[in-house]
Amino acid sequence: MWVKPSEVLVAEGFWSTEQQNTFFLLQQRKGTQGSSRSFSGLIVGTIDSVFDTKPPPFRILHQTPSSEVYYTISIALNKDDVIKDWDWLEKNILSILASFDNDDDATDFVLCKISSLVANDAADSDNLKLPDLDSDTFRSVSLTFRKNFGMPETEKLVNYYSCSYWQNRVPRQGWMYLTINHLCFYAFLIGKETKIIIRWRDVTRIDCTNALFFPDSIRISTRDQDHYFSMVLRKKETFDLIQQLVNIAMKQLISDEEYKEDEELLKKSSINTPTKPSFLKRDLDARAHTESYKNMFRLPSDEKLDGSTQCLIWAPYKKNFVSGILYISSNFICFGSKVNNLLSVVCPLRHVQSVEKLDNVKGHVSIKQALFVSTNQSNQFLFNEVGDRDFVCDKLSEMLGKTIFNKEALPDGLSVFARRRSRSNSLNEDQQQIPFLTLRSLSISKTPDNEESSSVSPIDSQPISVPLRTIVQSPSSPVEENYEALEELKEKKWKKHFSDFGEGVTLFRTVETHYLVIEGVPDSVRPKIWLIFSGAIHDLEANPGYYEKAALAGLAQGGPANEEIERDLHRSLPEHPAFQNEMGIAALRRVLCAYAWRNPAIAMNIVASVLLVYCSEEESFWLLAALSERLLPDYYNNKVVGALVDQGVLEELIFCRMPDLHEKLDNLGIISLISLSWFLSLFLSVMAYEAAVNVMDCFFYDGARVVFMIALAVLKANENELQELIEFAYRNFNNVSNSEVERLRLKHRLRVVQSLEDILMRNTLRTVGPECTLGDDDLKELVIYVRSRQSLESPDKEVRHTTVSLGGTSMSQDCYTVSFNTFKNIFLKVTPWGNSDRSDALSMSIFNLLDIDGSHLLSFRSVSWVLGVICGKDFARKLRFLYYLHLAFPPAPEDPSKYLEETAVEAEDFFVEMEENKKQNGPSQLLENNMIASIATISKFKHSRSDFRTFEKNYIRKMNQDSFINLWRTVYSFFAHETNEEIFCSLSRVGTLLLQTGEAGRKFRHSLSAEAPKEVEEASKEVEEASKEEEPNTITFNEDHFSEISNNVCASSSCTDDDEKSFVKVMSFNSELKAEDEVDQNEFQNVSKTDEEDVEEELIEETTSNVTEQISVMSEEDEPEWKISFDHFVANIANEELILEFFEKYVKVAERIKNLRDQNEHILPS
Amino acid sequence: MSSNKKLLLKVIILGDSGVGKTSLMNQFVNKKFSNQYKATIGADFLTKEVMVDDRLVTMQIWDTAGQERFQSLGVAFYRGADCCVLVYDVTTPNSFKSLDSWRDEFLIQASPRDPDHFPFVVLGNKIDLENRSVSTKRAQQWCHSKNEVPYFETSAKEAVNVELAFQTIARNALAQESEADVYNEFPDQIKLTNDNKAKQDSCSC
Ligand SMILES: Nc1nc2c(ncn2[C@@H]2O[C@H](COP(=O)(O)OP(=O)(O)O)[C@@H](O)[C@H]2O)c(=O)[nH]1
Ligand SMILES: [Mg+2]
Repeated sequence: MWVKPSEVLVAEGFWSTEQQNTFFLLQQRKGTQGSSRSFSGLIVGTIDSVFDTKPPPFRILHQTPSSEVYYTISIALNKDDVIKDWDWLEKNILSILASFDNDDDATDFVLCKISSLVANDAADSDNLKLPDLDSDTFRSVSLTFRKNFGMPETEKLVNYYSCSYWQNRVPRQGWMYLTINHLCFYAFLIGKETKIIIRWRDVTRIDCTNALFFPDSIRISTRDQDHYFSMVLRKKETFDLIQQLVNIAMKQLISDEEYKEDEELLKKSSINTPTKPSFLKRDLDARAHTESYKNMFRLPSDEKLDGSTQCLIWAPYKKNFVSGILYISSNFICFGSKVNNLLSVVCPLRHVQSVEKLDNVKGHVSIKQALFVSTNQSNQFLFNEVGDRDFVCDKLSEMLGKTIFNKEALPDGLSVFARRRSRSNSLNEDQQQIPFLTLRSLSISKTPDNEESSSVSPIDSQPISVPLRTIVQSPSSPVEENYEALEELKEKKWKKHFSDFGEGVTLFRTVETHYLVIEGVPDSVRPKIWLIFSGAIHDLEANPGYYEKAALAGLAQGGPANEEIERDLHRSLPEHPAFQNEMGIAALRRVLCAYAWRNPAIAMNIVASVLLVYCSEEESFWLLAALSERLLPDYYNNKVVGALVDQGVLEELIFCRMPDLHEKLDNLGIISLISLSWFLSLFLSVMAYEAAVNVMDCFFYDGARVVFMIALAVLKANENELQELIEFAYRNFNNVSNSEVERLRLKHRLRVVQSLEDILMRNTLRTVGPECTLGDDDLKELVIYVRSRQSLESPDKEVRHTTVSLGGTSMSQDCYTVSFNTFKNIFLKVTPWGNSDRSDALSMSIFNLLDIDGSHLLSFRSVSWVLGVICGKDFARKLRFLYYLHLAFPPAPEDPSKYLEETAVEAEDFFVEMEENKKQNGPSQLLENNMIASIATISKFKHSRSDFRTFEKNYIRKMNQDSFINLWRTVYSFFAHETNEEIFCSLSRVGTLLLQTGEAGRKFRHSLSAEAPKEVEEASKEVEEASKEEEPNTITFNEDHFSEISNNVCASSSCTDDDEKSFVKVMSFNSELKAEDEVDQNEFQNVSKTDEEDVEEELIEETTSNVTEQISVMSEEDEPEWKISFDHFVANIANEELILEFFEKYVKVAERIKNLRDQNEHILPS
Repeated sequence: MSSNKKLLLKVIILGDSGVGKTSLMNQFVNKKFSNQYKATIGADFLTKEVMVDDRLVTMQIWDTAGQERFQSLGVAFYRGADCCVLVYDVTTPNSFKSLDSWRDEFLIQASPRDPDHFPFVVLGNKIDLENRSVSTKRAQQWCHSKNEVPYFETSAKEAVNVELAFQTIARNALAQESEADVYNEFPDQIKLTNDNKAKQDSCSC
């Protein structure tokens, strides 16, 4: 690739020359050939990362024999490319150069020639440039980055910057890489690597600092550490980008949405953006532009900015031109004056009738490069001196052709004419019937069936299409006549305004409009003003019929959202007559339910009731949408995140503007609590009604900043009358701009979201009961690890709800949950049981054991409990758990996935029977105890099912041979990697003894059963026969065999690669040295069936054990089977020093999890 | 504790949404009932001066919203409470069942020094209504099991027992306050963050 020639001083050094002639050198960079890292390669790497340049590995230099100076004229990433350029030089240039007498002339020629080649190429590639074309260098950087950090394909690089990172007060020069999910830093200095990876979601603060030790740097803080980056080239750009990325991450935390590139947006903005490093960076830039454009003109959230250009607009009301910027987006033409608030226009394309070019109008010399736009709202716009006029005009015509106008009548007197539009005639009918909903509309179809069941009467569900104000009397105001007169006066003013500045959404929005709004909008004009300036009108017009259907679906839907709505209906605006009768309440119910259907997590009854007083239901609905989706984002969701963010913003505004007041309020510690209701109810709950409605006028006109201005003004002078208040607000706090609010929101969102995460983390920790034996450090590491996994795994983040209250009632709180993968990771890497060939199977059964509600997600509580057991010192507890696990959820011998279902079914039976069992015991207790106790017992019953720890307190039943073999197999696997032969001797000793015990029990019981009643005897015979079929070989014990085989085992076990075999040997010895294949997989699978039979007699609470245990012993005696009890198991193991040692070993959980976390830093979502 | 010092008692009212917390507070402070109160957003407070055993004290009564959405705000104002009033509605069993959760929630958030002896008072509200469904006995038993928490049956609407209940609240709060003088902070159980970084060291406007 030809490059603009630049001087290089060192031609040798890090480069080796591959080819050479009189004028040119072809060189390859040292350290880039081959994989072996020679010393010079190391140095080159270091130099590369110190200087901003990371040159491609091939280059061509120009040099004349008489000169010391070299020029780079071509670079390439691979050999073929460089050879191509080389050949071209030899063929076309060399002969010409030879003809020059003077070397300087030769050089001039080369430089000129190459420069023009470069220019040519650039022009070419500009034309060819498709959106997907990340530049070559960018791609190679991206590759290196991914290699250095082990990041997957999906982790897209957004941009990279040279900077230095402060590591222990020493700056390391290197590269900062920004990706969608991470900030990475890489430095490589004299063989020493520095790698930093920070996840955006972990960031708690970003700012620019100028601390003593870290001059002029960007600081990025996480919960663990502060990171300082300084000497950042293009610091502002870097900082903005970081802020944007963090903000995306925070929004993800709120909404669990993933970042997706917006292809469409990209195509739009890439048309005239100069070559930017990354596709993604451009995407983010385009996003930022579109975002501020939408904010500026309150456009629907799916609007996308196409481009903008300078122009003048003719202001007919004052007969002159106003200069500003013309914006064009998918459905709108907008204009904003250069002078803030002087004039702006929002013209939806659906109202545009024609767009014409105008030049050389007679008598108007000043008109050139003009565009004339006429609308169906009697407003016309003349844009003069439009930059790129012809392009803009073509673009507009094209878009007009695409927009589909809708014929629906507009509400409330917004005039609509039949549209005669030159380009839209060819549209066919069905194209106009756009389905009004996306995915969610599916659930609408269900509603007819549900209608009966809900309490909705037909009259109830009929929306009212006029404002409630017009139906009921307005609140009795003390200044009744005065009020009417005032209204009339205002109405007159507005009428005049509309005739001067135009009517409908396309009106000229000027300072005059602003003044009028501040003075107060008359009731009759309110809906119009609110709809137009909030932008709700666009949604309303674009979605005819949506509201009715949403209302139906919402009323039928039921659920907690509707319950909450119901509870608050009469507490929303109770003082207003409109809500003192069923009609108003019904309207409010419909609007709120409709909105809850659209957006379930939302509650905003107070604001909704005020809207209904002035607007129709449908208008109110769309105003609510504009409010909660755009103007006050995240305000009304189930954690009121947005309002919390804005509290932070307000606090900072107060701090900056009224530091004294801030201090006072801060001392009182009430600032946040007070402001919350101001924000959430838009002052309706704290101000006189009339006053608050006027604030709403301003709010819809001027956006979120109004809330802040008013809040500041209220704080400063809360005794003032309202009228004065608004004026006061604008006079004193006019410098609070919407963009400042947005900027501060970015900043505070970070804090709020992270503190909510902290709360979540604390909630999670709180669920850990006293039964958990992990220390605080262990828990802390564990929760951090679990949190870090939340975003990595989709199942983890889906369900964050668990019931937290230990008292066991209704209040639920958000907590982290643990998915199987996360659990398995922890189990394998942290516990001492995670290092055997059965670990996978074990982790599966433990997971099933803990997953009591079948959600495939574990509560943090259960995980911490189980870790406490497995990693603790208490060997009896550990063994009890292991023993129980093999009874209730036996680990599968081989393929865990095959086994999973069976286990689950079995486990269910297990619990059902356990419960039945307890109920049978119920009556006797009832006789003895009083009412409370019985309630307690019942709730205990419930718990037994939802508690995985019952076995810790209850009597544990005996184990049959199959289960035991399975259990022993597991125990054996823990030691499979051991090299100490002693251990294997111990193992086979215990195994044998246990088998022997079981066998002895059988014989004993068998003899007893002879005296048992007849039926029982028959039954037991059957059982016995059955068991004989399964296991034809009677097991006897023989001392000689034992010693012989244990020797064998010890010998064979030293070659640990074949643990399986040596294990089988132990087992086969125990079963009279039958062939190895006799120990069949089937045996393990049979466990489930035999278990079921036993459960009934044996699972009885310890408290009642005295009587019942005897019974259970009796019933056990009826079945002369191979059995061992838990006590046998523990006692035998406890006898063996070496085995016991293993089970007594305490594991440093915190340390291990920390390691696990460090390893995992690099593993990312795929 | 000098007896001239004017005392401020902080009282928190908790309970499910709609049980009548706001109405009770207003009945006590303003001596009137209206069914025109708006639903509480986040939290509100009113103050009232009362005489307790010849001492003038100011009660700062914090009314809260029962919705889950405001739970995350809890921490801020539970701290330093001198008494916690748990309210349920005698006509809705669920609001009674939630008492446990509210109590836990409070103890966790406020982390008082001595959770077993922190003064709670339970109010069963709306006894003026016909369709009562939580029996006095059941409520008393619950209170009994929680270390003899005082229990009152009230009606904010008809001003039954409200005065009496708040007198007890004030008295118990006062007793707590004199103890709390000894210890002043309520530490977190497990410290998660080193969040003592300067709160606002840079102001970018
Ligand atoms: N009948 C009756 N209604 C009450 C009583 N106290 C409150 N209410 C009503 O219950 C509803 C909820 O009351 P509110 O004080 O807002 O409950 P909060 O959410 O706990 O603050 C309102 O409609 C009140 O009018 C009472 O003692 N008796
Ligand atoms: Mg309330």
